[in-house]
Amino acid sequence: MTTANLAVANHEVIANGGVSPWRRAAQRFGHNRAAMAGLLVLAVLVVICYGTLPWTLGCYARQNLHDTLRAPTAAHLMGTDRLGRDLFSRWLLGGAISMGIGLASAAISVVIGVGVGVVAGYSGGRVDAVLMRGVDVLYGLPYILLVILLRVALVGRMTSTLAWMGVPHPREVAGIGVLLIGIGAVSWLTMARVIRGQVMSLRNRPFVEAARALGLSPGRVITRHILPNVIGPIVVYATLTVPAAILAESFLSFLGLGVQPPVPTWGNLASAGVAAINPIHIRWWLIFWPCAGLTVGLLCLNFLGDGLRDALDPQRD
Amino acid sequence: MTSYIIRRLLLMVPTLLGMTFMLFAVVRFAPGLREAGQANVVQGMMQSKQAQKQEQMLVALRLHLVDKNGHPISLPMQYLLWLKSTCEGHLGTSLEYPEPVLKLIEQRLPVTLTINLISMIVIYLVAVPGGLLAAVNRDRLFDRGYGLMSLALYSLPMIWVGSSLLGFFANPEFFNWFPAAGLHATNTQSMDFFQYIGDYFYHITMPIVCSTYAGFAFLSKQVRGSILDNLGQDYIRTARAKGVKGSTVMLRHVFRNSLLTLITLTGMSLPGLLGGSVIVEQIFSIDGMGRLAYTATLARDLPVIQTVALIGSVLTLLSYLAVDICYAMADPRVSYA
Repeated sequence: MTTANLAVANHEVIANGGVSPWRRAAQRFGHNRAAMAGLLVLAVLVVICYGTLPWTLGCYARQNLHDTLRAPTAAHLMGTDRLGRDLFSRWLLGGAISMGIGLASAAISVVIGVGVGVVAGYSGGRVDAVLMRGVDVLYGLPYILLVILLRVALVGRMTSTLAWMGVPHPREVAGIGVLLIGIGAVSWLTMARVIRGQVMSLRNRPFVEAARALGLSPGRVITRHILPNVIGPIVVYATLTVPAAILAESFLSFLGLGVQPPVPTWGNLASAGVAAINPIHIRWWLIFWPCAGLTVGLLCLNFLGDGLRDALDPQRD
Repeated sequence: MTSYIIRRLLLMVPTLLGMTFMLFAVVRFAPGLREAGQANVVQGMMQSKQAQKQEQMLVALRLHLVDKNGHPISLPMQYLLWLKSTCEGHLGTSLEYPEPVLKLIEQRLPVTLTINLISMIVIYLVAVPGGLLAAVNRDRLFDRGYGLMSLALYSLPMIWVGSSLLGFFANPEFFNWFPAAGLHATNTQSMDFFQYIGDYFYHITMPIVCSTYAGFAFLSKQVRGSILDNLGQDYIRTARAKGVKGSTVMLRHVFRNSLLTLITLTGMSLPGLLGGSVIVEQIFSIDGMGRLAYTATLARDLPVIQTVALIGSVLTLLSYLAVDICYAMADPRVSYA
């Protein structure tokens, strides 16, 4: 091997070794066409659903009883429903609320799940045992039952509390709030388990031991040395919680336990469409548009989460 | 091994107690349970006021809300009494149906378990070979296509798939191939055994499709990942280097190690066998555990809710135990002295 060749080889090693892990993850993500397409479509959905909020909030519940159950026309792009409400504006607002529910659930699962996971994994011993038994208990209870019971138990109380606090539309806010508590209460469990496992394996690594030996407080070790190393799984599982929560809301809406009309979500629009099916009139637009919104949104989010998982997986290459 | 199992069984006790406590707390916190329970027992206007009152007392007594003299019982005491009678096997009588809870469960548990077991077998039959092939053909057409397909299926909302299946394949206007509801034809009396089985599978085809299509993505992704992990290990290279046949390497070295991941995943999905079927049962009008739990919760049928949730919790714990035992058997490195 000539010196020139060696120099080139060395240069390449340095060039490859010099890229930060984040940069490499971003490159891997950029090469994943499905994930990039998902991100793009999702961005479009977010912009049109949230950008039109000022308009949709004004007219989502406006009924026009002369114009009921019309197929899509230029005036009503997605047709109208049983009460003559414009499906397009309801679809846009429904998308915004569905995605909001997904994001809020992900936020809840990050806060509780990461908190519990880090404390359990870092402390170990009795604290770990107690916290993880708690997770086991919640895992074991049937999920739908838990959500239904929480709903039954909390909606009335929360409505009266919110009304007492002077919040506008207390019923609607309480409905969404309780739904979030229900979905959030179960979605942090997986996060807690994953993070606990990661933290446990990090805890005994030399750099963490060094930090401890230098006299850093546990809080500082966790925030400066442990958390940055588990940010990958946190992002991945948070991203995957969003579609799971949106799906859970649609299931609950189908059972009549989700967000209550007239407040629209993709889930309750879809179940209203399913309920409107009958053998005589096939009003396809009532079921097609909400379900298409759900499918496209979920697909993008799943592609995104999957792409992030592949990109942030430290064991690749 | 035996002492390990016994130790694990003992460790289950506090978890189970925690579950019962949570269950009790959530159920008792829900308003309207007592009122609903009492209203259901009052059978029409024919009864005298006194008879109604007596019925209400009986229900309250049965639910351990009051003692024999009609004095209200405190909440902690209610919990203990409930635990005691449950341990003795007295699960109570449903408030909604005129039947003991145990009988209701006996009728519905097999329905849900069979459908979910068949679904699980179908999912494994597709997802495990799929994940294996995807790992072997990493980044090639099959891997990409299979990954995209399974994720796309995973993203389809079940209520859409379910109602579309009903709308297209159980509808005289399109294809009247499958029945729209139920598990059996009306004339089961006249069928022989094979006809009966055939009729059963004919009825559960659409529910099975509906409960399996979304399950492929997660499992095959995990199988693929764990096989790829193992393919990169040194012992695989050693095996290849000393000339072991390719298929033998895959089955004996790679797959055996990936089995551990599979066991964990199976254990995680076992509890879902019971609870995950509310939607499918609701769409296809199947009287299983999911539907029972759902209607019982809406009707505030306290004994049924508690029993269903309790059975679910116990099954979960047992499946955790099963996972640990399988792990010990499949992985010689794990020792449970």
